[in-house]
Amino acid sequence: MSSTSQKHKDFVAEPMGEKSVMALAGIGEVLGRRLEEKGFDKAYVVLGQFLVLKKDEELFREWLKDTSGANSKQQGDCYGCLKEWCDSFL
Amino acid sequence: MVEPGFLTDDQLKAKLLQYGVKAGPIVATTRVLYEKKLKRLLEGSAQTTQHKVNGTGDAGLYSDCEEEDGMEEDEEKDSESALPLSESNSLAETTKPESRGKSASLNQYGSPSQSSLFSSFSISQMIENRFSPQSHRSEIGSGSGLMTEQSRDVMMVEKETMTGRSLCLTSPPLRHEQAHREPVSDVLSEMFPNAEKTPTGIFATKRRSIKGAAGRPVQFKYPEMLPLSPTTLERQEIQQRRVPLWVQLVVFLLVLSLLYLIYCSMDEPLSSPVSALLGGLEEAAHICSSYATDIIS
Repeated sequence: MSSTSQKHKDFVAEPMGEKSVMALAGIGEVLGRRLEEKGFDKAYVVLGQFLVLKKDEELFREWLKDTSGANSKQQGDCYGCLKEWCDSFL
Repeated sequence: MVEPGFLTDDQLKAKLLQYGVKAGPIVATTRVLYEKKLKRLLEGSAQTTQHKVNGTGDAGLYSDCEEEDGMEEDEEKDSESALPLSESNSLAETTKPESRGKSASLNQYGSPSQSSLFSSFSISQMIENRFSPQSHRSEIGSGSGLMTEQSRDVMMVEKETMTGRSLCLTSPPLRHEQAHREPVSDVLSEMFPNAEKTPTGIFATKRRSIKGAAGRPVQFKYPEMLPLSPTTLERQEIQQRRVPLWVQLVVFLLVLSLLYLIYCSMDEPLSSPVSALLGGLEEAAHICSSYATDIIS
């Protein structure tokens, strides 16, 4: 299992509330800005998309790639972060 | 063929269900994704010699194939027959000109070359397939259509010998082997009914870290390189140069005995100021006592 980053740990430690989309693991400034342009300005909106895709990894990764241009690692980090958050709080 | 773009949401959902994909709500943001998925499924089934690249049902995208060992020696055989199985990437390009009639030449080879076909579909190709399935898939399909019944037997044998999900199990099945694709996937899903499907097909758990393996504490791992303070170092240096204690005592006693012998050997005692004072004190005492007796008397 790969190790998780500090960003991941911070995100899954508490309810996301009004956190910005850049608080998600794998989403930095560039990707965050792209997501915001598409209307995903808060982490919970991305969560919404994640849930609508029924937490399916492949679909979510593909969506993230199409929407923000994330690479495989970033997709994986974001997916893992959201999945773990859901396991804890949903 | 049905164009996914022209289906209604419900029709799209139903079509996906036909392929065993339980789609979620088809809303604006998810529609495109599900259309793409359906397209992939349609193209996948049209060419029956496809790899199963779907994330939901995919088994061995990146796993190792045991036949990879024989890959190098088999490449020589392949080059002899001008069969372009050298590298996985070139396979996609070179199988294009290959016609279906070459199946006869393949019959000459036994299982090793068949397995080289398996192994030639390497991990990199799998990654390519995964993310750009459209162009490569058709080419690979035509190339793998060359395989004959021998490969089917090999595959069955491999299914029994391989425990985990492997590339070979899901590697290009034959055109007339569609029936055998079902048992391949069912065996896996039977074996691991509750397993989460990962995109790589690899399952790994974290190894429990072994304490002490890193050589702690440090002084036991590097006994000659103790971290010492300067004071300790100085003290150690000084101690190296010190004369041992017992040697000092012996020398002292020797000197003492020497001096005593010298003193004894002298004819007359040394005149020291102490003896002079003592003599003076005695005289004074005599004088006092004589006075005292004079007074009394």
